[in-house]
Amino acid sequence: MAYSAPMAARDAEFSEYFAARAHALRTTAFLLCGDWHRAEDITQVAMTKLYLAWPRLREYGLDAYARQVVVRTFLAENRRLWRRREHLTSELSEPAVVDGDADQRLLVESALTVVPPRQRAVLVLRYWHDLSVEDTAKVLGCSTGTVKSQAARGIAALKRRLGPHFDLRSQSGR
Amino acid sequence: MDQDDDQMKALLAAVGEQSGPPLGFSADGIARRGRRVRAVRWAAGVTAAVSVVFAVTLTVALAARRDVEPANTPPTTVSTSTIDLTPNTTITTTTTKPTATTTTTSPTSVSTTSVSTTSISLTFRSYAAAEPLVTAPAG
Repeated sequence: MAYSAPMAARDAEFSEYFAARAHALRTTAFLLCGDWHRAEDITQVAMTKLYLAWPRLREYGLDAYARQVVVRTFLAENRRLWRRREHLTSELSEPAVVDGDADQRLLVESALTVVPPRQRAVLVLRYWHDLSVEDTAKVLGCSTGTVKSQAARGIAALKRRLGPHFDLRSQSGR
Repeated sequence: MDQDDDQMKALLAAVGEQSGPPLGFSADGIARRGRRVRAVRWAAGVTAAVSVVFAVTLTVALAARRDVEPANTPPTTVSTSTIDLTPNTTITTTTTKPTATTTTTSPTSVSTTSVSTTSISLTFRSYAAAEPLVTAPAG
């Protein structure tokens, strides 16, 4: 296929954006799925979708669009692959030991994996990306009431799972 | 509730701040993959369009080549009616399109036999509009 000058310029723009945002998008994907390899797959698929839509995209709202693609790719993949993935249980196979930041992080990671995908998406958008309830609803394509209820349920699930470790600030302050 | 929000932000920050393993794909790889996807989509679109055009052309060609069959004719009906006429009415014969009607009149009655491809109502119409009526000279 001929590689025209406008296409080369477009690819250069995309490469620039990729260099700036790929890691952040992968972190979002990691927070959603809790696995770096899966996060990489999700980011790759999302970036490909972004590349295909690139000619139509305007610079304004590019990040929001990329975030939306990552979240929706995660949810779509979750629906499609739920039979093939290992099923998560609500109990840890062995008791977690909280010893230092790394262990605390692992504890939170494992706790996040028991939160259902849609609730996790709400939590990540609301509390990692700091989106408003309205913007979160727009990204997920649902009502604001659903976002509020999903967020409350997600927090409740995390609280149940983490128990006293839910409050990281008091942990670090000890 | 604000306290929960702050705690959630702290929890996600603890997990999200780690850098993770190095990225396993590059912008060039994504661009290559994107171009491939675009080419596949383009090829699929062209194939679909060509298939539709071919199918329409074939349908039209087959329809044009088919022999035209005559329309089915309804079964021929033969109806007979007897109409009283005044005495001294002469024998008349009349032919109208699309029906052929033969009327035989006796001094006291007329027996009409019509062969029609339509219906009984046409028979009545042909009788009523039996003009020009050829009348044999009297005597």
